[in-house]
Amino acid sequence: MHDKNIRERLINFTFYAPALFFYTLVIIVTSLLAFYYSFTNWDGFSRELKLIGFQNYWELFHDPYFYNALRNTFLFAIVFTVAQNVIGLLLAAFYHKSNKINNIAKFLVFLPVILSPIVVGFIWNYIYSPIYGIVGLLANYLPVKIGLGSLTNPKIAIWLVALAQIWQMVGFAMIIYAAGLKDIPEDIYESAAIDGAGKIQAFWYLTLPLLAPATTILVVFDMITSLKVFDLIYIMTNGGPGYATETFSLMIFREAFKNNTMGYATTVGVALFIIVLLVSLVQIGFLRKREVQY
Amino acid sequence: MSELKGNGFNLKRLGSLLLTLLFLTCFVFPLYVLLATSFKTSKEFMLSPYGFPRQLFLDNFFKAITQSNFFTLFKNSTVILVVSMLFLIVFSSMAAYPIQRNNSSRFYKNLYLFFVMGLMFPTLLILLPLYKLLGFVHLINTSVGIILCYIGGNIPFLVFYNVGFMQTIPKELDEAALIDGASKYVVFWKIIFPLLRNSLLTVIVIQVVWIWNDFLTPMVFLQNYDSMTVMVGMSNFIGERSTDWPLIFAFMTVSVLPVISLYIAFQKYIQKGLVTGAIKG
Repeated sequence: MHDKNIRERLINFTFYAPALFFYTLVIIVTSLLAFYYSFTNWDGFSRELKLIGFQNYWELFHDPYFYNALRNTFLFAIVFTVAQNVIGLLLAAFYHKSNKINNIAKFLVFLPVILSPIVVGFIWNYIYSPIYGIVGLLANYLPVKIGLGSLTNPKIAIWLVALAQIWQMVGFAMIIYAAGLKDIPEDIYESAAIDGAGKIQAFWYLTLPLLAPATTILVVFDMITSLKVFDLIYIMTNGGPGYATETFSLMIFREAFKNNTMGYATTVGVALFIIVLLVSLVQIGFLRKREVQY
Repeated sequence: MSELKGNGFNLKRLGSLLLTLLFLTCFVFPLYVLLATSFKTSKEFMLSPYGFPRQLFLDNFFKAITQSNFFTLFKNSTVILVVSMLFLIVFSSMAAYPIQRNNSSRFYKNLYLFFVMGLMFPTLLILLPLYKLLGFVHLINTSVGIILCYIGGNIPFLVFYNVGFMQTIPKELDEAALIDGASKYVVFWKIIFPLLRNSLLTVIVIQVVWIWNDFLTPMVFLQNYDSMTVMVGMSNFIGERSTDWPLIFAFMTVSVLPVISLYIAFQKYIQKGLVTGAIKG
């Protein structure tokens, strides 16, 4: 083991001390505080707050808004993750070769990834708007009710937002799969062809299993980030119409800043943290088993 | 599809080309709308929202810049970005050094886990008490406050990458220099850090894009007109002019220019950084 003298330990300490200080303060201390607040009835302003034990958690369990947020968040996350992976994989496969057209395509498809969710949200708000948007214009020619295709329709609002998110992030899935595809040696396909496998069979039985590590990474990453999504939905619908698109983060935001129930908001936050943790662990466990080593 | 051989003209190739064109047209459509509408007059926009602009009408851009506190917004975003990044790069690479070099020690393994576990915490959970903490020291609505948030919040991400990158720098370099009597600080700054720079560029670009695009944190912590960042300012600007779309899109086009330029210049770096990160994760 390392037999460090005091001086060397001190020098090492100066290396990691600043990072440790800021990180602990900004993330660890605040999370512990948040956890503490979840056991109080604090409203975010007053100096006094009362410890109320598990009352917030009890309330959460019985809160219909919580279950609404649960449903919306998971719906959004699952639709997003599945669409991302399917479309991203198709794009990566289609544009696999490196020629001019494919490179331009990959450049364009990835571009929205680096845009701010605010920009994406506003552009798609415009596209979905009842008057200027696509649906609005089409309504001039087709017997379609204007309201149906816009964000004011509670039945489809969440799908519309999910579409915007998919549009933005599909380039990310594409480049991850593209990198995964690059690692698959060409001769595997040749031997498969000799053995009489068709293109589709080769894809299904060879490519997909070999892409399992990339799939794992993407699915876990996509689920985690989409469970926590905030900016895009806030800009597009702010949880509306009604509460049709309210996800966990939006509920936390609303409880904290609109309803002034900071204690309860942190309770929802803790719940979100636990859910994200559980989902990640389950997914990693499940998906790791699929991975093929060769 | 893309496995087609031969350079000659054949039906399959034409078909796939047409498919790509169709797909790309649909895909790029929102961006086209953003750009094209910025160049239209209000009248032109009403008459033909989706057609090509008749001429490059620059008035919207002038109005966007003059009607808002545009330069203040850009200045704020840039200052916050640059200062945060400087501290982040220095602190996280320094922290990664003893962690990676002593990676067989249980203490440093745990320290690494402690840092990296920060990636799991949702921003909103942290935001609420952070608001209280910053308010306590009167740092709301100041650049200093949000810079502290960005530094602390992004350390897990950068430490994770730095440790990964340092694995490729051989320990023998350190040892040779140490034997020659150099202090650890000299070894780090004169040897390790320069070698780190190239790989670090990939994550730096990603981090820069994230901070520039960030909305939630600045919205909560910088509510003053004078201290706002570009994204928050843009959101307010749009809120105030809900239907003057050419003007709105002109503002948006200008605010995404820095990020787009970064993308054009550093596309390979950004993608490489994301891919490497995903594989290590």
